Amino acid sequence: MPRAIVIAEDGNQETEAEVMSPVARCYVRSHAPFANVEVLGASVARRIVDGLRRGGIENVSVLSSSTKTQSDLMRMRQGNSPSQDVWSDATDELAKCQDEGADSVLIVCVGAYIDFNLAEAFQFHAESRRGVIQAFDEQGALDLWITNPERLPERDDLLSALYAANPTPFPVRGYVNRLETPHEFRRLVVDALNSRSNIHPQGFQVRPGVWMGEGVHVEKGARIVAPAFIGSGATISEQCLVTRCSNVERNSYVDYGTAIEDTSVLASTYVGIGLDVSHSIVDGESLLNLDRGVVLKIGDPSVIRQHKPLAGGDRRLWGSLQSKAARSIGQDRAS
Amino acid sequence: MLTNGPIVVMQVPEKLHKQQAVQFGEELAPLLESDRPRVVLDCSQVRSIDSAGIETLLHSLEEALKRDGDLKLAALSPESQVILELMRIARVFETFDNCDDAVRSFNAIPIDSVPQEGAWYSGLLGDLGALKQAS
Repeated sequence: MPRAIVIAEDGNQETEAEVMSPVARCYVRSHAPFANVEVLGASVARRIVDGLRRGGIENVSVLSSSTKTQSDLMRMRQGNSPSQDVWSDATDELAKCQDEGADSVLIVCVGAYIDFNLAEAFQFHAESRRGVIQAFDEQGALDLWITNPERLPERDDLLSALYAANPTPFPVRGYVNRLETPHEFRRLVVDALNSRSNIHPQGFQVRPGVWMGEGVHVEKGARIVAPAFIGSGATISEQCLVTRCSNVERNSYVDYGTAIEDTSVLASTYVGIGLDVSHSIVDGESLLNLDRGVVLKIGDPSVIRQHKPLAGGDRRLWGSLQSKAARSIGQDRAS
Repeated sequence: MLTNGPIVVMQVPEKLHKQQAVQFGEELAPLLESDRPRVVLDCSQVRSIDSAGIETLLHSLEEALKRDGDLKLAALSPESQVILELMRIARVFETFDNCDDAVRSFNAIPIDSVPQEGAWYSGLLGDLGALKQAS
């Protein structure tokens, strides 16, 4: 019975970069946990796990690390090993799989988005002479392996063991996006909205090329030009324009008259009145302009900021405050 | 602008937020009170502008235009370009790659190249008169 081990970064790093928003942090650190950022309703990490389960792997172990990043991985390959805790944990997890009788285990390190046929990959592994296969595309190796635990050489951590096994390259013919730069992150959105990958926006296709999640509020006079995605609970105010493969993620708020063009507005972000946001990724108070390669941390909350939508209780409280205010205004007028 | 008055080049601070914007506006104000003020703002050091800073820039432009002058922006840093585009005011200002170009632009049409003898419409009036007579 096939099993899977997913190695994901949880992003809880206590570094100076922590004070920055995920996008700014990603940009600064060049190799980024973009896979953890929600895109078209779900993160790449979640899509990987869901994809494995849909593909018939019921037992998927997710190991998260607060220290491992792709850049760490690169250093490990060059011999400068940082913390290898997560890979040691993965070794233990693989041993457990072996004890439970698993003859093939898929190991994926969350980073790149890879469209591949799971059944075909396991078939390739079964037919390969070596105990390990590793996914490759035309740009090189990808962090995805299938191994037979019994045939893996003994090493301190799983990653060293995988490399020591000299894996057979498994060619990936599907869509691959390494998600190493903000440009690649934007390209993931554009490609998904244009159906070039198997990423499906979460929600309903309200008209060809326009996807919306639940509880989306599009006010009168707002225009959404396909292809576009509006995440659940998001609001697009009057006279706004969302165009050119833009995505406004969950619980975001685009205020009156603003144009969003070729831009990703990440979850829970407020975008102020009458702005022109183009070729950018907006996340809370950070704006990354891809055209000019500039990250701006905007301290003016009327422009962009983190948006906290009102929860049920808060909504009721806000409603009662509004009605109280209306009553007091009425009384003032009457007197 | 066809006058020969001074063209003032002024450096915009790195951060043009509320506090700095007020101070910058106060420094800029006397320059805008002259007849046909001609001001170039060097934006090469700008890293951040908030809505108060934008308001100062727009107010200063308005004051300059009121007195038949102009306020131009030069050497915009990538940050200031992004902010001006974001706030939809990039098109309101004339912008230049560097201060020299911005200064030169005030004198783009040399005075001696403008015809000095007779108004441009004098010939046209003569033609109109002939047309009237013909009709």
